[in-house]
This record gives sequence, structure tokens and C-alpha cells, in this order.
Amino acid sequence: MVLIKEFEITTGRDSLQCITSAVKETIKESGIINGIVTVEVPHTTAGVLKITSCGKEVTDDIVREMRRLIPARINYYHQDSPENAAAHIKSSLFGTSVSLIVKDGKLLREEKQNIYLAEYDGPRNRTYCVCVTGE
Amino acid sequence: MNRNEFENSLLRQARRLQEYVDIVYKNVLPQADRLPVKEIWDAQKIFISGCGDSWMAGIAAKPAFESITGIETNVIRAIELSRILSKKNLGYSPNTPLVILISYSGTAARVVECAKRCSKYGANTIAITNNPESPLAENCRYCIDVGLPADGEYQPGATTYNASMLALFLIALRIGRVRNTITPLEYDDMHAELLSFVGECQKKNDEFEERAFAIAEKWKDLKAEDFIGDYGDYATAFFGSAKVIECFGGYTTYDDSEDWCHINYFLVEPEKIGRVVIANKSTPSFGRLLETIEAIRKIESPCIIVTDTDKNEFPESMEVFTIPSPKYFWMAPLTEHIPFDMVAGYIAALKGIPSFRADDERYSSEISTQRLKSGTEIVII
Repeated sequence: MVLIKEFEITTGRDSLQCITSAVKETIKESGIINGIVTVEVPHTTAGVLKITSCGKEVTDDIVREMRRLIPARINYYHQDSPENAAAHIKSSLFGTSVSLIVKDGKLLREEKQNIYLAEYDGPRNRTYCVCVTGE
Repeated sequence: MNRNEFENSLLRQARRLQEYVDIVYKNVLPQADRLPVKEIWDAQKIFISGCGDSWMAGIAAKPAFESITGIETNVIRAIELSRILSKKNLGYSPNTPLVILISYSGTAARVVECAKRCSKYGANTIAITNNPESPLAENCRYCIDVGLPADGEYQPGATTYNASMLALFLIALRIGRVRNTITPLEYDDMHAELLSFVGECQKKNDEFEERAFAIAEKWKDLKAEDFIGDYGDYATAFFGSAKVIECFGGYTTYDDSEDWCHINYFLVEPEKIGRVVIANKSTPSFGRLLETIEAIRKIESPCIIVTDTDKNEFPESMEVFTIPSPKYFWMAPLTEHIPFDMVAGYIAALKGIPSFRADDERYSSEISTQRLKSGTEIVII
């Protein structure tokens, strides 16, 4: 059994938006008890992250450290824009999808673990896909 | 009289501007997007220059540059940039200006001179031209070829004016994108609006032409035309005034609303002077423009108003052309000139006067071509 759903979202600049509730809803809708759920963004300047968040400070730190590690510089070979060039690298390094185990019809996760859509070159209109497989 | 019996190049251009928006947009976008990030990032100041319609396109695009990029933008006369402006303004850091030079032919002598001088002192130079092999293109670091078809009708210029303006807008958007002064969402939305905005106005072609012809019949015997516009709309005023001269050699003047109230208001025989006011509601000086229009009503000048707002805002006695309101105010100059292009085209056709006095050999002397040749042998100071 497979269920794939697409969601649309308008992101902010350098934002992390929690999409856990949409993932949980999709699992519930699929009726799958045990299996895998994959969340993916079909974009090259955004990503999906699994973050154990103890509050906004954690997500703010992640955004800030990403900017420090991969700053918007003017000397990337990719010349679209400094933000865009850095965004491609962030997207590649940090990934555009996450997979989690579905057990007893629920996400197998720590209580404070959430799934986030990471925007590296926003605001933009984005799509993300949730695919649940199992039985 | 039947208006279908009267034709003019400016009329034909005014009807087809959207077609050329599509062509120029398609040609310029990939070139603008190749402008290097470093040069854009370095720019502390922007200079735009050109002669005639090209200079006006710069004035028209100044609000776009300031609104989109946040960079101080100076639209400077070619003679000033080539001969007068201190060279310290043109060098590398801390000034590092981006200089955009416009010439359809790429041969305008003073503009080529600007390119040579600005390049010599270290400024980053971009040519906007229809001739990538021209002296202007060769003397600028980067060239944006607007790519107008060779068989087009471009004199008096309306198509080329819009082409230059559109190229400038696309450069401004490129700068805004690179410097992150506009968001990707705004960037995409502005591009979409640029592609459709002129077309929205062109839906009114038939209505505008019908009224333009009726006005031309009344205005053809006036003594002069006087144009009023503020900020970016000052370009439309200047442009309209230029078309009066180019199309039928009429007497004309132009000014912004504030100075008009100080100077042109006092011209004698106001009932024999046609006034054209660009009065968009989005213009910060709209209140002053309304006062100006009231002054025009009192002195009983025939008046055309080009606006993005309802005609009920203005005196009943005036001819109001309502153009579609752009989502971004800085796009307005792309269409504001269309109503008077049509009026000027019909006046010229009704009077039977050819553009640029082509039937009078006194106007075909070297004086008229000197603008392209004069002073190419220069010593850069």
C-alpha cells in the first residue's frame, strides 16, 4: 500500500517551517500501520530536516550556523545570486528528504523530534511530498 | 473625417508595443541574468546616461532602480558624464559606480565618449544597444543587445524607448535579486507583471485611437503643447514633448508640476496651448498635480490627462485617458506615453508633415547627423 500526497506552502526567508502535522495526517489517511514515511522537497534550494527542537532557540541556531558555514558569497561559480548559490550548497549538504519509521500507525520519534521544511532562498512558493508505504 | 485615412509611424508603433515587449524581454533576460555578481555587488552608485529618448528611458527607470535596488541612481546627461563629472566619481572603491549607457544605434558620439571615459577610470560599464558590434558596445565591459528586428519601424522612437526602458527594468531586477533587496517571490511577480502590463493597456487601443483622432482634429491648430509629469513621469512629459517636435515640428515645452506652477503657467494665450498632464494616483506628488490641473482649468487651456485613476477625479472639461494601474508603480512609464503617441501621430498625419522634416533638405544637412559623429576624436580628461 502506498499513499503519496503533495502539499503547497509559502516559505519565509531562511525559515524552518514545521510540517510534522501534515505528515501525521497523511499517515492517518493512508491507514498504514507499519511502514516507512518519506518527506521530500522537489527543489534544489530548499530541504527537509529532522530536528529535535527544544524551542525556537534551536531552530534559530541551526539557521544561523548554516549561514555561518555556507555564507552568501559573491565568488561562487554559480552566478544566479549569492543567496541562491549558497542555497544550492545547503540543499545538497543537508538533504532534500527524510525517511522515518511508521509503527502502530504513528511516527516512530522522540517527543520533541519534528520534521521541518528548510527554506534557503525564500520566500517562495514550495511543494513538498509525503509518501507512506507499508501495510 | 475618417481616421482610417490617416497613418503615421508613431501610431503604428503605439499599437504594437506589447509585441516588442515580448521580443525584447526574451532577448534581454538571459543577458541581464549573466551580469556578474561581483560587479553588481560592488556598485555603490548607479549612473545612467544616453541622449534623447535613451536619456528619457533612464529618467523613466530611475524609480525602478531606487525602489528595487535601494542604490542611489543618477540619470546624468551624456555631455556631463563625458566631459564634466569629476573622475573621482568613476573610479574603484569607495565609489565603484555601475554605469549604464544607452544608444539604440550604439554610435551616439557623446555616449561612446562616456563609455571610454568611464571605462578608463574603472567604472563597470554596461551598454544597452541594438548593435552589439557598435563602438558603444566595444567600449563597455558588458553589452545588453535588445535584439529588435532589423525590419522594424523605429522612427520617431517609441519602440526603442520602451525597449531601453524594459532592458533597464530587467537590469534593476537582476541587481535586486543578486543583492537580495527583493525576495524571490517579488522577483517572479515583477517579471510576470512586466510581461503582461503593456498588453493590458493595448486592449484599449481602439478606444484610445478614436479619442486621439478627435483630439488631434482639435489640437492640430494649437500654438504649442506643454507637458507636465513628476519623478519617473517626467520622462513621459519629456518624451511627449520630443514627439511633438519629431512628428510635426511643433512648439513645445515640458516641466514637473512644481516648476510648471512657477514658470509655464504664465505663458500667454493659454487657450491656444494644449496641456498634457501625467497624473497617476501612485505618484507621491498627486496632490500637487491636482492643484496644477485646477490651475490649467482656470486658465482654460485644452488639457489631456493620462492617469491610472478614475476620470471623475478630474474636471469634466478635460480629456482623461485612464491607463491600467500597474501593480508596481515604476512600470507606469511603459504605457503612459501611448495616448499622446496616438495624438501626435494623428496631428502629424492631419497636417501632412513628415517625421524629422524629411521633405525639407535643410533638415537633412550634416547638423542632424552630427549627433552621431561629433567629437569622436576626443582627449579623455
